[in-house]
Amino acid sequence: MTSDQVKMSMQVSRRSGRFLAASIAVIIAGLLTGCSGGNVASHTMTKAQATARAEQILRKTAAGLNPKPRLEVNSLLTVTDQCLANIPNASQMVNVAYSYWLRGIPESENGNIGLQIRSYWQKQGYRIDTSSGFGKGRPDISGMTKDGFLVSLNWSSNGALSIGATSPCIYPDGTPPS
Amino acid sequence: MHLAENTQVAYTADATAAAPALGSFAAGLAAAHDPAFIAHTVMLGHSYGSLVVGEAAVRAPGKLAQDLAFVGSPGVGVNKASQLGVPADHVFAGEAANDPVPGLPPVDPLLWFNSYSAHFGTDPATPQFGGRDFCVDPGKPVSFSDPIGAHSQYWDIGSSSLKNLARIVDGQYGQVQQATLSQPPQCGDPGAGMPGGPYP
Repeated sequence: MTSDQVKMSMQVSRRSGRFLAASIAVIIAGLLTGCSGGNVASHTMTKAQATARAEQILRKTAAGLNPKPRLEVNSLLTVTDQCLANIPNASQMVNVAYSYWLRGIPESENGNIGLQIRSYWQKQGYRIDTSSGFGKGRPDISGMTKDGFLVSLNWSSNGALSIGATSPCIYPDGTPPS
Repeated sequence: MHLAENTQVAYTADATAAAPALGSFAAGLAAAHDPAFIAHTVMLGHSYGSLVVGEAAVRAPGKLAQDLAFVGSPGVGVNKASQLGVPADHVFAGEAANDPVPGLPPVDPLLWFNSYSAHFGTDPATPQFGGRDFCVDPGKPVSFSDPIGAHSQYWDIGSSSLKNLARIVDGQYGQVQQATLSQPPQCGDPGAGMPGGPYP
Protein backbone atom coordinates (compact mmCIF):
# COMPACT_ATOMS: atom_id res chain seq x y z
CA MET A 1 0.00 0.00 0.00
CA THR A 2 1.80 3.16 -1.11
CA SER A 3 1.54 6.40 0.84
CA ASP A 4 -0.45 7.89 -2.05
CA GLN A 5 -3.05 5.16 -1.73
CA VAL A 6 -3.21 5.74 2.02
CA LYS A 7 -3.80 9.48 1.48
CA MET A 8 -6.49 8.77 -1.10
CA SER A 9 -8.28 6.47 1.30
CA MET A 10 -8.26 9.16 3.94
CA GLN A 11 -9.87 11.71 1.59
CA VAL A 12 -12.64 9.39 0.45
CA SER A 13 -13.46 8.31 3.99
CA ARG A 14 -14.24 11.73 5.40
CA ARG A 15 -17.91 11.02 4.78
CA SER A 16 -18.41 9.06 7.96
CA GLY A 17 -16.34 8.61 11.07
CA ARG A 18 -17.09 4.91 11.22
CA PHE A 19 -16.05 4.28 7.61
CA LEU A 20 -12.90 6.29 8.23
CA ALA A 21 -11.95 4.26 11.26
CA ALA A 22 -12.67 1.03 9.43
CA SER A 23 -10.62 1.86 6.37
CA ILE A 24 -7.76 3.06 8.47
CA ALA A 25 -8.04 -0.20 10.33
CA VAL A 26 -7.91 -2.20 7.13
CA ILE A 27 -4.90 -0.28 5.88
CA ILE A 28 -3.17 -0.59 9.19
CA ALA A 29 -4.02 -4.26 9.42
CA GLY A 30 -2.53 -4.78 6.01
CA LEU A 31 0.62 -2.93 6.92
CA LEU A 32 1.16 -4.02 10.49
CA THR A 33 0.38 -7.68 10.09
CA GLY A 34 2.21 -7.76 6.81
CA CYS A 35 0.44 -8.92 3.73
CA SER A 36 3.43 -10.79 2.43
CA GLY A 37 4.94 -8.75 -0.36
CA GLY A 38 6.78 -9.89 -3.43
CA ASN A 39 6.68 -12.94 -5.60
CA VAL A 40 7.78 -16.34 -4.33
CA ALA A 41 11.45 -16.73 -5.21
CA SER A 42 11.90 -19.93 -7.18
CA HIS A 43 15.64 -20.05 -6.74
CA THR A 44 18.41 -18.07 -5.09
CA MET A 45 22.10 -18.34 -4.40
CA THR A 46 23.01 -21.27 -2.19
CA LYS A 47 24.46 -20.71 1.22
CA ALA A 48 27.91 -21.68 -0.08
CA GLN A 49 27.62 -19.25 -2.96
CA ALA A 50 26.45 -16.45 -0.70
CA THR A 51 29.33 -17.08 1.69
CA ALA A 52 31.82 -17.02 -1.17
CA ARG A 53 30.32 -13.84 -2.57
CA ALA A 54 30.38 -12.08 0.81
CA GLU A 55 33.97 -13.08 1.34
CA GLN A 56 34.88 -11.88 -2.14
CA ILE A 57 33.30 -8.48 -1.54
CA LEU A 58 35.27 -8.04 1.66
CA ARG A 59 38.61 -9.32 0.38
CA LYS A 60 38.44 -7.07 -2.64
CA THR A 61 37.56 -4.14 -0.40
CA ALA A 62 40.56 -4.77 1.79
CA ALA A 63 42.99 -5.52 -1.03
CA GLY A 64 43.44 -1.93 -2.12
CA LEU A 65 43.68 -0.31 1.30
CA ASN A 66 46.74 1.58 2.47
CA PRO A 67 47.91 0.72 5.08
CA LYS A 68 46.93 -2.82 4.19
CA PRO A 69 45.10 -4.60 6.99
CA ARG A 70 45.45 -8.19 8.08
CA LEU A 71 42.05 -9.85 7.86
CA GLU A 72 40.78 -11.81 10.84
CA VAL A 73 37.33 -13.36 10.78
CA ASN A 74 34.98 -11.50 13.10
CA SER A 75 33.08 -14.46 14.49
CA LEU A 76 30.44 -12.33 16.20
CA LEU A 77 29.24 -11.00 12.86
CA THR A 78 29.89 -14.13 10.79
CA VAL A 79 26.61 -15.91 11.24
CA THR A 80 23.72 -17.33 9.29
CA ASP A 81 20.34 -16.22 10.58
CA GLN A 82 16.77 -16.82 9.61
CA CYS A 83 15.35 -14.36 7.11
CA LEU A 84 13.13 -11.81 8.83
CA ALA A 85 11.99 -10.02 5.70
CA ASN A 86 8.31 -9.76 4.92
CA ILE A 87 8.40 -12.02 1.84
CA PRO A 88 6.83 -15.37 0.99
CA ASN A 89 8.84 -18.34 2.27
CA ALA A 90 10.87 -16.15 4.61
CA SER A 91 10.81 -18.84 7.30
CA GLN A 92 12.56 -21.18 4.86
CA MET A 93 15.25 -18.66 3.99
CA VAL A 94 18.39 -17.34 5.63
CA ASN A 95 20.74 -14.38 5.56
CA VAL A 96 24.45 -15.17 5.40
CA ALA A 97 26.64 -12.60 7.13
CA TYR A 98 30.44 -12.51 6.89
CA SER A 99 32.79 -10.11 8.61
CA TYR A 100 36.49 -9.42 8.97
CA TRP A 101 38.35 -7.39 11.55
CA LEU A 102 40.85 -5.05 9.91
CA ARG A 103 43.90 -5.77 12.03
CA GLY A 104 47.08 -3.78 12.11
CA ILE A 105 45.51 -0.42 11.31
CA PRO A 106 46.75 2.31 13.66
CA GLU A 107 43.79 4.18 15.17
CA SER A 108 45.13 7.39 13.68
CA GLU A 109 44.47 5.89 10.24
CA ASN A 110 40.86 4.90 10.94
CA GLY A 111 39.30 7.91 9.24
CA ASN A 112 41.58 7.59 6.24
CA ILE A 113 40.76 3.89 5.89
CA GLY A 114 37.07 4.73 6.15
CA LEU A 115 37.32 7.22 3.33
CA GLN A 116 39.17 4.71 1.15
CA ILE A 117 36.51 2.08 1.75
CA ARG A 118 33.69 4.46 0.98
CA SER A 119 35.44 5.57 -2.20
CA TYR A 120 36.01 1.96 -3.30
CA TRP A 121 32.39 0.99 -2.65
CA GLN A 122 31.15 4.00 -4.55
CA LYS A 123 33.37 3.06 -7.49
CA GLN A 124 31.84 -0.43 -7.44
CA GLY A 125 28.42 1.16 -7.80
CA TYR A 126 27.32 0.25 -4.31
CA ARG A 127 24.62 2.42 -2.79
CA ILE A 128 25.93 4.25 0.29
CA ASP A 129 23.07 4.67 2.77
CA THR A 130 24.84 6.16 5.75
CA SER A 131 28.39 7.29 6.36
CA SER A 132 29.79 9.30 9.22
CA GLY A 133 32.60 9.64 11.70
CA PHE A 134 35.55 10.00 9.33
CA GLY A 135 36.79 13.22 10.84
CA LYS A 136 36.77 11.72 14.31
CA GLY A 137 38.48 8.45 13.50
CA ARG A 138 35.23 6.55 14.06
CA PRO A 139 34.18 5.72 10.51
CA ASP A 140 30.82 4.06 10.07
CA ILE A 141 29.28 3.14 6.73
CA SER A 142 26.33 1.07 5.62
CA GLY A 143 25.36 0.44 2.06
CA MET A 144 24.16 -2.09 -0.47
CA THR A 145 25.77 -3.82 -3.45
CA LYS A 146 23.99 -4.19 -6.75
CA ASP A 147 23.27 -7.86 -5.95
CA GLY A 148 21.59 -6.98 -2.68
CA PHE A 149 24.39 -7.58 -0.15
CA LEU A 150 24.36 -5.16 2.79
CA VAL A 151 27.91 -3.88 3.30
CA SER A 152 29.11 -2.17 6.42
CA LEU A 153 32.17 -0.63 7.97
CA ASN A 154 31.90 -0.77 11.72
CA TRP A 155 33.85 1.09 14.36
CA SER A 156 34.12 -0.60 17.75
CA SER A 157 34.62 1.37 20.91
CA ASN A 158 38.13 -0.08 21.36
CA GLY A 159 39.11 1.57 18.10
CA ALA A 160 39.06 -1.56 15.96
CA LEU A 161 37.45 -1.54 12.54
CA SER A 162 35.57 -4.37 10.89
CA ILE A 163 33.89 -4.75 7.53
CA GLY A 164 30.89 -6.94 6.87
CA ALA A 165 28.73 -8.20 4.05
CA THR A 166 25.28 -9.71 4.57
CA SER A 167 23.45 -11.56 1.82
CA PRO A 168 19.84 -11.01 0.92
CA CYS A 169 17.41 -13.75 1.94
CA ILE A 170 18.34 -17.01 0.24
CA TYR A 171 17.31 -20.66 0.37
CA PRO A 172 20.21 -22.62 1.88
CA ASP A 173 20.16 -25.03 -1.04
CA GLY A 174 19.16 -22.45 -3.58
CA THR A 175 15.59 -23.72 -4.02
CA PRO A 176 12.60 -23.93 -1.69
CA PRO A 177 12.68 -27.00 0.52
CA SER A 178 10.18 -29.52 -0.88
CA MET B 1 -4.26 -13.51 5.26
CA HIS B 2 -7.64 -12.49 6.60
CA LEU B 3 -7.73 -8.76 7.05
CA ALA B 4 -10.93 -8.86 9.03
CA GLU B 5 -9.30 -10.97 11.71
CA ASN B 6 -6.28 -8.70 11.89
CA THR B 7 -7.87 -5.28 12.20
CA GLN B 8 -7.15 -5.49 15.94
CA VAL B 9 -3.75 -3.92 15.36
CA ALA B 10 -5.44 -0.63 14.51
CA TYR B 11 -6.68 -0.41 18.08
CA THR B 12 -5.14 -0.32 21.52
CA ALA B 13 -7.30 -3.09 23.02
CA ASP B 14 -4.86 -5.93 22.36
CA ALA B 15 -1.94 -3.92 23.70
CA THR B 16 -3.91 -2.99 26.79
CA ALA B 17 -4.74 -6.64 27.34
CA ALA B 18 -1.15 -7.74 26.84
CA ALA B 19 0.56 -5.09 28.95
CA PRO B 20 -0.05 -6.70 32.37
CA ALA B 21 1.45 -9.97 31.17
CA LEU B 22 4.57 -8.16 29.97
CA GLY B 23 4.76 -6.37 33.29
CA SER B 24 4.55 -9.68 35.14
CA PHE B 25 7.30 -11.11 32.99
CA ALA B 26 9.55 -8.16 33.77
CA ALA B 27 8.75 -8.43 37.46
CA GLY B 28 9.66 -12.09 37.34
CA LEU B 29 13.02 -11.29 35.80
CA ALA B 30 13.69 -8.74 38.50
CA ALA B 31 12.71 -11.18 41.24
CA ALA B 32 14.92 -13.92 39.84
CA HIS B 33 17.92 -11.64 39.40
CA ASP B 34 20.96 -12.38 41.54
CA PRO B 35 21.72 -9.10 43.31
CA ALA B 36 25.43 -9.94 43.33
CA PHE B 37 25.51 -8.96 39.66
CA ILE B 38 24.62 -5.59 38.20
CA ALA B 39 21.86 -5.99 35.65
CA HIS B 40 21.03 -3.68 32.81
CA THR B 41 17.57 -4.28 31.46
CA VAL B 42 16.43 -3.04 28.08
CA MET B 43 12.98 -3.63 26.68
CA LEU B 44 12.75 -3.46 22.92
CA GLY B 45 9.45 -2.97 21.14
CA HIS B 46 8.95 -3.34 17.40
CA SER B 47 5.86 -2.14 15.55
CA TYR B 48 2.66 -2.91 17.49
CA GLY B 49 4.92 -4.41 20.16
CA SER B 50 6.16 -0.93 20.92
CA LEU B 51 2.64 -0.01 21.99
CA VAL B 52 2.53 -3.06 24.26
CA VAL B 53 5.82 -1.98 25.83
CA GLY B 54 4.58 1.59 26.20
CA GLU B 55 1.38 0.51 27.92
CA ALA B 56 3.28 -1.83 30.24
CA ALA B 57 5.78 0.93 31.08
CA VAL B 58 3.00 3.32 32.05
CA ARG B 59 1.45 0.67 34.31
CA ALA B 60 4.72 -0.07 36.11
CA PRO B 61 6.70 3.19 36.17
CA GLY B 62 10.41 2.52 36.53
CA LYS B 63 9.86 -1.20 36.97
CA LEU B 64 9.62 -2.55 33.45
CA ALA B 65 13.21 -1.92 32.34
CA GLN B 66 15.94 0.68 32.69
CA ASP B 67 15.94 1.47 28.99
CA LEU B 68 13.16 1.34 26.45
CA ALA B 69 13.90 1.12 22.74
CA PHE B 70 11.35 1.29 19.95
CA VAL B 71 11.81 0.51 16.28
CA GLY B 72 9.24 0.98 13.54
CA SER B 73 6.75 2.29 16.04
CA PRO B 74 3.24 3.51 15.17
CA GLY B 75 3.17 5.17 18.58
CA VAL B 76 3.60 3.89 22.12
CA GLY B 77 0.42 5.22 23.68
CA VAL B 78 1.79 8.44 25.22
CA ASN B 79 2.85 11.86 23.97
CA LYS B 80 6.06 12.29 25.97
CA ALA B 81 9.00 10.01 26.78
CA SER B 82 8.83 11.21 30.37
CA GLN B 83 5.39 9.57 30.69
CA LEU B 84 6.92 6.10 30.36
CA GLY B 85 8.27 5.98 33.89
CA VAL B 86 11.96 6.15 33.01
CA PRO B 87 14.16 9.19 32.43
CA ALA B 88 13.54 10.54 28.94
CA ASP B 89 17.19 10.02 28.01
CA HIS B 90 16.67 6.29 28.54
CA VAL B 91 13.97 6.13 25.87
CA PHE B 92 15.25 5.44 22.35
CA ALA B 93 13.46 5.23 19.04
CA GLY B 94 14.57 4.41 15.53
CA GLU B 95 12.49 4.67 12.38
CA ALA B 96 13.62 3.79 8.88
CA ALA B 97 12.89 6.54 6.40
CA ASN B 98 11.18 4.02 4.11
CA ASP B 99 9.12 2.32 6.82
CA PRO B 100 5.49 3.40 6.37
CA VAL B 101 4.31 2.11 9.75
CA PRO B 102 5.47 5.09 11.83
CA GLY B 103 3.62 7.32 9.38
CA LEU B 104 0.24 5.69 9.91
CA PRO B 105 -2.19 8.52 10.62
CA PRO B 106 -3.85 9.36 13.92
CA VAL B 107 -7.54 8.58 14.10
CA ASP B 108 -8.24 12.25 14.84
CA PRO B 109 -8.11 14.12 11.51
CA LEU B 110 -7.10 17.31 13.33
CA LEU B 111 -3.74 15.67 14.01
CA TRP B 112 -3.10 14.43 10.49
CA PHE B 113 -0.99 17.27 9.24
CA ASN B 114 1.38 18.06 12.06
CA SER B 115 4.88 16.62 12.04
CA TYR B 116 4.73 14.53 15.19
CA SER B 117 1.41 12.75 15.73
CA ALA B 118 1.40 9.02 15.08
CA HIS B 119 -1.43 6.54 15.23
CA PHE B 120 -1.02 5.73 18.93
CA GLY B 121 0.18 9.04 20.38
CA THR B 122 3.21 11.14 19.54
CA ASP B 123 5.78 9.54 17.27
CA PRO B 124 8.58 8.46 19.67
CA ALA B 125 11.26 9.42 17.14
CA THR B 126 10.27 13.10 17.01
CA PRO B 127 11.78 15.97 19.02
CA GLN B 128 8.29 16.64 20.46
CA PHE B 129 8.33 13.24 22.15
CA GLY B 130 11.53 14.10 23.99
CA GLY B 131 13.29 10.75 23.75
CA ARG B 132 16.41 9.88 21.78
CA ASP B 133 16.01 9.38 18.06
CA PHE B 134 18.76 7.02 16.92
CA CYS B 135 19.97 6.47 13.41
CA VAL B 136 18.78 3.61 11.25
CA ASP B 137 19.28 2.93 7.53
CA PRO B 138 16.49 3.98 5.18
CA GLY B 139 15.63 0.41 4.18
CA LYS B 140 13.92 -0.86 1.06
CA PRO B 141 11.77 1.78 -0.64
CA VAL B 142 8.02 1.25 -0.52
CA SER B 143 6.84 -0.57 -3.61
CA PHE B 144 3.56 -2.15 -4.56
CA SER B 145 5.03 -5.63 -4.30
CA ASP B 146 6.90 -4.96 -1.05
CA PRO B 147 5.13 -2.19 0.82
CA ILE B 148 6.72 -2.64 4.22
CA GLY B 149 10.13 -4.14 3.47
CA ALA B 150 11.92 -1.49 5.51
CA HIS B 151 9.74 -2.38 8.52
CA SER B 152 11.52 -5.73 8.86
CA GLN B 153 15.10 -4.58 8.41
CA TYR B 154 15.92 -3.30 11.88
CA TRP B 155 17.95 -6.46 12.65
CA ASP B 156 19.88 -6.77 9.40
CA ILE B 157 23.45 -7.69 10.35
CA GLY B 158 25.72 -4.74 9.66
CA SER B 159 22.85 -2.26 9.61
CA SER B 160 22.98 1.03 11.48
CA SER B 161 19.88 -0.04 13.36
CA LEU B 162 21.42 -3.21 14.73
CA LYS B 163 24.66 -1.47 15.64
CA ASN B 164 22.88 1.25 17.56
CA LEU B 165 20.54 -1.20 19.29
CA ALA B 166 23.63 -3.13 20.39
CA ARG B 167 25.14 0.05 21.81
CA ILE B 168 21.92 0.79 23.71
CA VAL B 169 21.74 -2.75 25.09
CA ASP B 170 25.39 -2.55 26.13
CA GLY B 171 24.86 0.81 27.80
CA GLN B 172 27.23 2.57 25.41
CA TYR B 173 24.95 5.57 25.21
CA GLY B 174 27.79 7.85 24.18
CA GLN B 175 28.35 5.78 21.05
CA VAL B 176 24.76 5.66 19.86
CA GLN B 177 24.43 7.56 16.59
CA GLN B 178 21.77 10.22 16.59
CA ALA B 179 19.47 10.55 13.62
CA THR B 180 19.69 14.02 12.18
CA LEU B 181 16.59 15.99 11.33
CA SER B 182 17.46 16.15 7.64
CA GLN B 183 15.25 14.40 5.14
CA PRO B 184 16.12 11.63 4.76
CA PRO B 185 17.74 11.43 8.20
CA GLN B 186 21.48 10.90 8.24
CA CYS B 187 23.55 9.22 10.90
CA GLY B 188 25.46 11.36 13.30
CA ASP B 189 28.95 10.31 14.22
CA PRO B 190 29.32 7.49 16.70
CA GLY B 191 30.09 9.05 20.02
CA ALA B 192 28.80 12.50 19.21
CA GLY B 193 25.79 14.18 20.72
CA MET B 194 24.44 11.40 22.92
CA PRO B 195 25.59 12.33 26.41
CA GLY B 196 25.80 9.77 29.12
CA GLY B 197 28.37 7.17 29.94
CA PRO B 198 28.04 3.54 30.99
CA TYR B 199 24.83 2.90 32.85
CA PRO B 200 25.11 3.12 36.61
